[in-house]
Amino acid sequence: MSVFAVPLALIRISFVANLAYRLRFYTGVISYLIYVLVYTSIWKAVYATGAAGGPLAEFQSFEALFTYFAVGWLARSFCFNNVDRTLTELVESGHIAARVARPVSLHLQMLCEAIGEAAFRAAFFSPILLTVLVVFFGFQPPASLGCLLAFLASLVLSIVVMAELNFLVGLTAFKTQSTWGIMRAKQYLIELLSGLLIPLSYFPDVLRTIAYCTPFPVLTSIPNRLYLGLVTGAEAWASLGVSAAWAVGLFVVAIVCDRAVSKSLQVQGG
Amino acid sequence: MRTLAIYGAYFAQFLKARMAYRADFFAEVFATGLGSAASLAFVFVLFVPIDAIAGWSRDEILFVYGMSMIPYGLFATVSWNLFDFGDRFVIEGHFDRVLLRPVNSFAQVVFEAFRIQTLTESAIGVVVVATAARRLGLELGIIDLAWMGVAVLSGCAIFVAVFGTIASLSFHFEDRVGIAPPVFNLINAGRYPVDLFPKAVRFVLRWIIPFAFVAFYPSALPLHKDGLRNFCMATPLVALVFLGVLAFAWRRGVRSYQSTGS
Repeated sequence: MSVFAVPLALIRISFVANLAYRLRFYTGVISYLIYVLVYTSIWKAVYATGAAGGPLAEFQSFEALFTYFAVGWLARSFCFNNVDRTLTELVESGHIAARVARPVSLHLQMLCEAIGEAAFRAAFFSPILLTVLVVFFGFQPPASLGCLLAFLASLVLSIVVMAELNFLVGLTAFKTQSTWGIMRAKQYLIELLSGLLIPLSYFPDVLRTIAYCTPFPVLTSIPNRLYLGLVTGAEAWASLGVSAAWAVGLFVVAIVCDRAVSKSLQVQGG
Repeated sequence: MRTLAIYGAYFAQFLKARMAYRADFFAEVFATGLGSAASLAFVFVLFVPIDAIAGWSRDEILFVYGMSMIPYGLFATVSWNLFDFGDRFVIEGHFDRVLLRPVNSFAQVVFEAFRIQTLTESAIGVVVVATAARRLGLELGIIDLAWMGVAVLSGCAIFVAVFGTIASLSFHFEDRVGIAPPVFNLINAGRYPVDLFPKAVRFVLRWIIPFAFVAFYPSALPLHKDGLRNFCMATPLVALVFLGVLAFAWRRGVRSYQSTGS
């Protein structure tokens, strides 16, 4: 019990803090609608060229392809967090000193912040987006109850992967003056290599191999393929295994980097 | 003239401060380039198995994409303060300082902070446009090039006008909600043929938040898309109209600025 008392308290604080600023999430719904509209419009044109037979063959219909993107953005709306930005701001303002001085590691603080935000998003943000998407566009339900459960399980692992990636990017703020470019590069790399903008099956072979060597497919491709039932049975378990491996791997890397950076941190007096 | 010298001095001062951390600066330039490359990769991957969408070939789309990157990179160098204008200048009251100086208040806000690493995006844009033009076999005459110059300036003006107008709203509402992010996301939509999008989105991109005029319409002239000629020619006019909206909105905003009293 006592082991979890501190993380639970941190998660609760993050949840409540997000609740206080919930208004800004509502314009977020519009942002996501724009994403979905723009990219599915482009894909509609692609589908119309007849690419459906080749690289898009695994999608039975345009509805299935649309569902892939809608679910992808929905999943992103749930897993997204600003841990990298928060860390940058803490370093720039110097408040990081107080954070590092706490008896809980910076890494655990940030991970709990991400989990708290995800809980908030699951409760208040994603359901609104889901409703809007279903009302305006309508998309396919999960292939089966098992697929839904596998999808949800993989999403939980995605939160951890997303949080750790953002944490590692945020740590660069300790070493550089501005992390703006790195955060932007990370965002574009994630959007491309996770399969959020383009299903990985559509990629040329070389790029697909590269994508599978990164943790990014854990964020979109794996959950979406589970949702649509494109992978089932033993393959589905293997997908979840990949997600879990990345979550654990990045968790360990983040702990190591956190120790190294926190130890070398010099705070100016004043 | 004197005003220009002042902005020059602002910029020189910024450059000195930025170059104090040189390695850091180049790391940032590299990261910006990587980001731009990853966003471009979307277009490349999209067109691997297909030749065209909605009558637009890959190289034509890349041409438009590049034409959008150039003004975006230029705009992004000065946009820093526009995005947190409400927080920094209105809520914290830093706008007092701006008003005390005898230089145009909008220009002061815009030219106070720069992000020159974003010029990487413009540079990549130039390369993309040049490559796409060569692959398309376009013979760009002096008129085309002059027009593309006008288009880049108009594109910058549209970005400044749209985000400046949004910033000026924070004089009236303490905008913690953020209208800017969804609008920012629309920039990307302006990089593709507008015909791809549903009617409502098309309408917004033409007349409300005119990002279709940043690169898509003005590219019609060099790309010889004669059906779009009228929209294409309207580009500078659209930019001027929206700059007018900005001037109006900013003046109204400044007049209702009440400081923080601290």
